[in-house]
Amino acid sequence: MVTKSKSVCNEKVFKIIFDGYYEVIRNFTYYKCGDIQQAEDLTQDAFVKLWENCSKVIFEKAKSFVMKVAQNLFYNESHHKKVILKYNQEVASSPLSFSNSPEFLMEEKEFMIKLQQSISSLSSKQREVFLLSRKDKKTYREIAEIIGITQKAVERRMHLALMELRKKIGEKI
Amino acid sequence: MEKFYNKGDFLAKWASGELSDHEKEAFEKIKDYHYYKAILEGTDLLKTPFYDKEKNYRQVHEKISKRKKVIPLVPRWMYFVAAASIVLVVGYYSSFFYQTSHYHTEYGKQLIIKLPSESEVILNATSKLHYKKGNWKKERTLVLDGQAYFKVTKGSPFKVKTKNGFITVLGTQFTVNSHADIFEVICFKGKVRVERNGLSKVITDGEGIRLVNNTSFEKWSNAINKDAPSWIHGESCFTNAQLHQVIKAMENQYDVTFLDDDINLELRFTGSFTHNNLKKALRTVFEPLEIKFTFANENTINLVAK
Repeated sequence: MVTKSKSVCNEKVFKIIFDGYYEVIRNFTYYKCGDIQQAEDLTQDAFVKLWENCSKVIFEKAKSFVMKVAQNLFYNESHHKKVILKYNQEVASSPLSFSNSPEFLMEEKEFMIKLQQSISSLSSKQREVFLLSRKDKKTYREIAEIIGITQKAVERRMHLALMELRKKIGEKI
Repeated sequence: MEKFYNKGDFLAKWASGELSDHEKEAFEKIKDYHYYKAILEGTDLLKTPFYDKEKNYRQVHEKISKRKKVIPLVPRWMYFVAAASIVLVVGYYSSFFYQTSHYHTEYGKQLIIKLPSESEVILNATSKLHYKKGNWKKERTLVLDGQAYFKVTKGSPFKVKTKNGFITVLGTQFTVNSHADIFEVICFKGKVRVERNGLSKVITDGEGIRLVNNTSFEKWSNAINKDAPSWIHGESCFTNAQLHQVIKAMENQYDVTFLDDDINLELRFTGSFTHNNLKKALRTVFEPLEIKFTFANENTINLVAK
């Protein structure tokens, strides 16, 4: 039986798509470009494009359409900054496990700064995989879909990202 | 020798909890394990920047309506049939619904205007305001040249257009001053968005914003008049305002002209002047700034630095 797919041109359907995917697309773009203002702008523009093409895009493909547009818009813009995630001091009440271990001589705060810097200096390919996995709790399969590469490639990038972070943080914890 | 955990996708599998118990145990015995564990735990503590979903959705909406493309729903031949009746409809609308209301004030005068939907405008001296009555419910848009105080009831977006930029609000109280190259907005209640040439700033109650040297916005906090602008009570009040703005305000209230070529118009003034005594007003503004004023004739005043 053929069921007719929901039309994206319906504003309610459009809002559902927006509510469902805005955050992940915006984060994904942010991990790429490192500027939250730019990321929001690009994501919004991508949704505008979806609306303009609503008659050509079926509901099931809407997410990947917006994702692709956001990505292309990003590549079209020239300047990219470094990603800086903010460390929330208030959350620090849950101590890191390493602070209990005598092997780690570095202060937690110092470690967090180092970690932020290290994530910022990852290549954008590794960073987007690492942060989508750890911050947005996406599975490797989902990430593969978002970026448009194979799951195997995502896992490899994740592995390399972790090795890279380990190297950057160095011995002096 | 390469370490076993540096191969392939081992770390990825570990991070996602896909390792076998055996592999996991082996990994946990290694010193590096603690580093990797700290990296993941540390990353959990990092915050992704906050965002406001509704606000973003609104912005998408705004962008869509700006770029609205008309998608043809009617076959082409229908246009010919419809053309004749459209002429009639347009004629009808423009004469009845798209009527524009115009208001303006003379030197030293003020005007209270009741808008449809209970909103209110007080127009200060030498200012002009007009708006279209027809589509008021859908789009509350006014065009202002000069200074005015707005009390806006909740409802559809309320827009004030000026030559210097435009202001968008939902329900709030604020003043706009847009005389020639002066552009200043002060918010008394709620939130106001001020836009100019792609530059966009949001101010909330107790804040003011002004254009400096025609290029950048300057935000300031309005500590003196918390409830309503002073000028509706017969006094013009300024917080760290550039002198040319003060002079312009005085010209509008007293119908005088200042010869101000010899003084620095970028001096800042904080204070107020009354609307019912010119001599007193001149003294309160110019004496603290060490500027001498002399009457060239009844309506012309010469300003010289002391």
